Amino acid sequence: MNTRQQIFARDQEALNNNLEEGTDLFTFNPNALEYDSDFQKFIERDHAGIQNHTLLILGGKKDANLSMVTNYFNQEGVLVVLVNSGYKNLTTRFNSELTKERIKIQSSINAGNSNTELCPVDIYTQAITQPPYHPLPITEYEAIIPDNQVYYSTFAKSLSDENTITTRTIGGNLSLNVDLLKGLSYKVQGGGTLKNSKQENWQPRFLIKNAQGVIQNSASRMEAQLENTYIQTQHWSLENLLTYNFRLRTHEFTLLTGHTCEAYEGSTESAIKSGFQSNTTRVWDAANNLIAASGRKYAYTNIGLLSRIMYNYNGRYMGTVSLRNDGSSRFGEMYRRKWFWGGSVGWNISEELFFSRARMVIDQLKVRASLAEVGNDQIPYYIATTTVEAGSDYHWGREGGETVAPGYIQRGYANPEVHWETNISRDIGFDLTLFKGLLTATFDAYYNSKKDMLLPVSLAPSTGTWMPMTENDYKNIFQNVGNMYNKGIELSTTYQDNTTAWRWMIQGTFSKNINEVTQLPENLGEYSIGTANIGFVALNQPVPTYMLIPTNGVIKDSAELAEYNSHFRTPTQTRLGDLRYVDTNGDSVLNAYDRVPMGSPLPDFEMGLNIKVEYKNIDLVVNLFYSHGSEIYNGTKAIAYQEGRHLDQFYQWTPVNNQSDVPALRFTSSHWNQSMLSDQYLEDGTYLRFRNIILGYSLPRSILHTVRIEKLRFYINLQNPITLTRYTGFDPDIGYGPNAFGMGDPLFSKGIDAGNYPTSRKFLLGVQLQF
Amino acid sequence: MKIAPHIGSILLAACLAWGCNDQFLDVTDPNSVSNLDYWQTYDDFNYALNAAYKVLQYSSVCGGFNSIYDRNRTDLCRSFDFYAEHWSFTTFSWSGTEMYIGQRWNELYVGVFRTNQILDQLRTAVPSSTFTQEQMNQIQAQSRFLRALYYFWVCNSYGGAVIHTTVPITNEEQQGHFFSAQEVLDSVIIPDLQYAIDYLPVSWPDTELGRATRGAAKGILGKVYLYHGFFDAAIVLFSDLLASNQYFLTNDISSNFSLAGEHNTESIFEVNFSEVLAPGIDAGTLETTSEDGQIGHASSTATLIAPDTRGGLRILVPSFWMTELYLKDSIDVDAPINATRRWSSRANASIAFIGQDGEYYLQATEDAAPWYLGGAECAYWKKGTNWATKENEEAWTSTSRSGINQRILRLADVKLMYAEALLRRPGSTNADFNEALTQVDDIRNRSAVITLRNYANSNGGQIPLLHLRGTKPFASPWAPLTPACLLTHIMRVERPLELAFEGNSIRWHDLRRWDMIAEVLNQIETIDYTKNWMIQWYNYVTLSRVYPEEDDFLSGAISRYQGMQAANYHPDRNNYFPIPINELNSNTNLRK
Repeated sequence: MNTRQQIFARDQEALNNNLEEGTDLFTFNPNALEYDSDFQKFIERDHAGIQNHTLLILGGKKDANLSMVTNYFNQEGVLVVLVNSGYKNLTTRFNSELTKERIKIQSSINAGNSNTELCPVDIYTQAITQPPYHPLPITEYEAIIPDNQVYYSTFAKSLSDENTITTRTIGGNLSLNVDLLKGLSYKVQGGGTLKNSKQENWQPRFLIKNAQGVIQNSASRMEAQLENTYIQTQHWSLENLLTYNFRLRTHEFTLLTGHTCEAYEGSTESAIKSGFQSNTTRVWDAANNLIAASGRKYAYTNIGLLSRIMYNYNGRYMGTVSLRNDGSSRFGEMYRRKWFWGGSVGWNISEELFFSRARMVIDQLKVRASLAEVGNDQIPYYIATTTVEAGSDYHWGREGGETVAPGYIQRGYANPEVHWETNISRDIGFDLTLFKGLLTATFDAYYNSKKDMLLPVSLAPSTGTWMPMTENDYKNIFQNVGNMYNKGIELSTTYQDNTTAWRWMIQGTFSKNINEVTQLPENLGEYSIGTANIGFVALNQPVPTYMLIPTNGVIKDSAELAEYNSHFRTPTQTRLGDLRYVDTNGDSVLNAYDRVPMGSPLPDFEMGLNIKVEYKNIDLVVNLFYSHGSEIYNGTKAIAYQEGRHLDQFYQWTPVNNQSDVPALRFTSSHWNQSMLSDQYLEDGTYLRFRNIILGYSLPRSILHTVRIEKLRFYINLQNPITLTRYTGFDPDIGYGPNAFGMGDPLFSKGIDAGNYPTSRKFLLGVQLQF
Repeated sequence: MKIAPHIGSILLAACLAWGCNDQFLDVTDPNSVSNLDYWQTYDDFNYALNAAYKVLQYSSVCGGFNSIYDRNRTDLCRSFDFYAEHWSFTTFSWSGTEMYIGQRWNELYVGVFRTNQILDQLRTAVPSSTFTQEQMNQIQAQSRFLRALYYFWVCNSYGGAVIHTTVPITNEEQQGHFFSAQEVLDSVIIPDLQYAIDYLPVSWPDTELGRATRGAAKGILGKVYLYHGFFDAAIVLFSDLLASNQYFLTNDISSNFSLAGEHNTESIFEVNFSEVLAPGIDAGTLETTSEDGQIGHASSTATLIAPDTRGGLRILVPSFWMTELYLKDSIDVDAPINATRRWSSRANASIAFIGQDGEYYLQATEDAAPWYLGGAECAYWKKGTNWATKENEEAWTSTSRSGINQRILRLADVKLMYAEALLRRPGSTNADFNEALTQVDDIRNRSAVITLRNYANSNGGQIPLLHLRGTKPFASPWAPLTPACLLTHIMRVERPLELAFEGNSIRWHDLRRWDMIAEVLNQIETIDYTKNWMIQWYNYVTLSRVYPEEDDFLSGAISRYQGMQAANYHPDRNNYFPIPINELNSNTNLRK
């Protein structure tokens, strides 16, 4: 909404609340009409550049090879004009290989340096809430906010924050492969990665002034603050493998047995100082107040034993059986180790004698089936035992005569019985090639199930684990809560013809996946994670499932209001223009029990179409993607509604505009008309997207060979140029990621659009050079 | 090529590999001590107890928001519609998803969890020279005092509680059941406080001020009894406490709200806050988290209520009714302390207003008036702010920090509760009435306002009904001083004047337990607080200086508020908060 629309909406809000004077905005901000700011536009950067350079050098002779690859990548961010949000990365890798008789030594060393500039948390949602009748910030360190300085200053202040992560990585791998006897070989491989990162979070002194230009202390950041966080991690692994390969006539066997172990260690240290000499002195030495210093360590280890038998009969029948035992330090002593097994069979029908006639048409036909178990131990460290933690100090005595009283206490609960989750994948499929390779098709049908699924279960707050400030650290307890499956099909067909001057390829893909939770503990019907209470794990529903209260339009006249009110037991405060909620459980009370499953962000099916055409020196690639039937919770819209900033609300219900289905804006953001629990923010996420269009031109060889260049190609790449969707948010392709609702757990934030960093539309120009 | 060196290296590698045996998987947490190793000495238990006290400072318990949200919806305060969440509490229009409703529950149960840990561990602890039986009893008594207090507050806010008296270990135990307040009283609060009375010491040395005492346990248990209508039981405890000669009313009431007066002779139980400790850490950042190592000790209350021109947010200001009540409470002109006063020391210590006596934020009020008349802000709360020691709430260090202790129980409260119980006990006698009157007059005497006995003696047995509007603003109707009249005076006049804005939201819980919310709100809304009142008030307080018309205010600023509270209030919906949604989500026993 622009200023005039916003003031109109606010006025209607006041009138709806029976305030005859309308909005009191002008009391606090008499110059409101002078501004018409678009804060969203203000933080977007439209022409962010990207650079990507790769250098590859290969060399060597018969039994010794050396290669080096270096990559430099620099992407400017698409958000925030005052401060960058971007990513730079430089990596180099050396690989070498030495073969001498029966010994082969391979080694690699890689080193990298990356620099990420993070944009302030929730900057996009913050921008949405800013009223258009406020001026844009004046300078990097100063803003005028005419009214409600404290409430609106967070956004202005965060614009100048600089939050940079620098990460340096060095890693290496060394492996030795010895052929001991004929068919018997032994391989030992060791590797390690060291990673150091530093996060520098600088919050400069920032002055917020009122309309008269007077500095507002409570809204401003009077003292700059610098927090540096150092994270060091190291990861070591060692692997021993013994392989024996032998042949009994046409039966070929490979036996493999081995042992792996891994250790991971890390530490985090951080300190904050405030009171800096100036905004240009961003070092701790220029500050006079140490606010806090903290640090912690963590480690975990894994061991694995594995054996595998592979069988091959003349390229016609194939089979594998494998068995492994895994151990993880993350589980309690009783539950550390577990056996997992797997197997697969394959039949190359086209190799059969009886198939020889069909070979006129069918080049290759292979059917295959597999079953594999894999363990998952991805849970937080040390959750199998309870500990007593420091850090809850109280104090005794009067002001000025205090004695600090150290406070140590157990803050959360352990789960000593937590154990391995098993992922079982079952797959049958075929690969088919027809007409001398013109047409290929791959088909898979799968049924993948999770057994003893590990999920963070939120404890009841009455267990005392929802500590303020740090509630996410303790309120969740990882449990093996139930079973779930994913079943579906994947089909891919490719037609390609390189025989004419027009060389072209068309590939179509189709996939459909059904996800369902099949078992949850009885006393855990469904549960949610995070404070948003939107994404749930519920029995016989996909994960996550939205649990929301259905609504049925707006109450438009007094007859409807009387009818609606008569349904509820206790008098409601419902007025004309309010949302009509459905009392789904029929208990005549409107509350959280009325939530019902209302869909999931998982699409019904997805399709892709990739086309590649080459003619002479010109090449064209088009990638299309279609996703059908996902539901998206438009969190950005919810926030805009709650703040009274959504354009819809310009058209809200009023006594005059009394046929509107946009509920009347009410004073408090938690009013039922704007409630997060309602289904009004749920939208269809179906979309069709052109993901890539690449047009290239290569200079003819005849010109190039005179200057000894193998290839010189120029290209234009349009990434995500067009998206067709009915979804009204930024981007219907909602990925996993942290979100504004306070939870970083990807499983549960999926589908909730909370102003995530949007996918950008990119236009790339490129040069490809090969000697 | 010789094979031997290769075999050697293979064996070496194999040894390394098989070295990764089961011990390789033993990884213990280096960041904290295992629960199995911890609970050994007196210090261990004492430090755990400190962590249980820490919960008192939480922002929805005593340290910040709580002191605001529960006070909105009383006759004491006004709020502003631009503080959206506060507004929903002010106007009784909360839906149940508000942050405070969930956080108060969460935080109080952290306290319950911590005390339960200590009590569980005490059950298996064996007395020794490093941890004597006496020490064990005393730790137990303090823990049970705190647990009772936390449960009492849960019951006051939610009308009942999920009871855990031990640490719930299994999934089943963690799904607690909801019990009525009466059941919580019988099974936890009363037995805990009885034990605390038996084993807590009478006092603590200066270096341990803030710990629970026998007097605190008696006072809180008396309050519990009073809240639930057990008047005789309350009277026994209150008279006991008054007879103990341990607590005395301070000469100056303001010492009950100031830094200097922490743990004074009147104080029975306080939550400690400190601005001196941990400088630079924002109020509300109280305990370490996995992200930072900050342990704070400050409260944010002062910043929330101070005027914006003095570095605060003035989320709440005194209601017009309350302002008028303070100004109508006439001083005893013969008292020496009133020689230079126009307003009572109690009014001056409680609220800031134009024409008040003395300085405000170290400035003469006439010179730098903070009043924003355009918004009809004619008074601010002084209680809980640093007006006597700072120029500005931010002036000293970082934001939102205040070190003023939150007084939970003080003698004046006990005296007024005692008086109330005497008047309300079944078969209350004339002697009870006289005793009650003495208690009320003690309190009025301390602030040198005209005592009720003096009013009655010089006005034919009548006292002014200060809570009601007389024929004109700042006047009141009169009525004979009967027991019923005295009780109304306690409820509508003396408790608000003396205890406004104090304790764990004393006023809200008083009005709720008396079932007087609708009556009070309706009565106040019949009073015409419009521009006309503002002019009369201005003339009255400034001794008829002309009202500054250039500071004209919107009549909307006043009328906006009128009518919404009484119209929206409904006891079923508003007397208690609903059980928070997060509890419903994760506790299957609470689902229907």
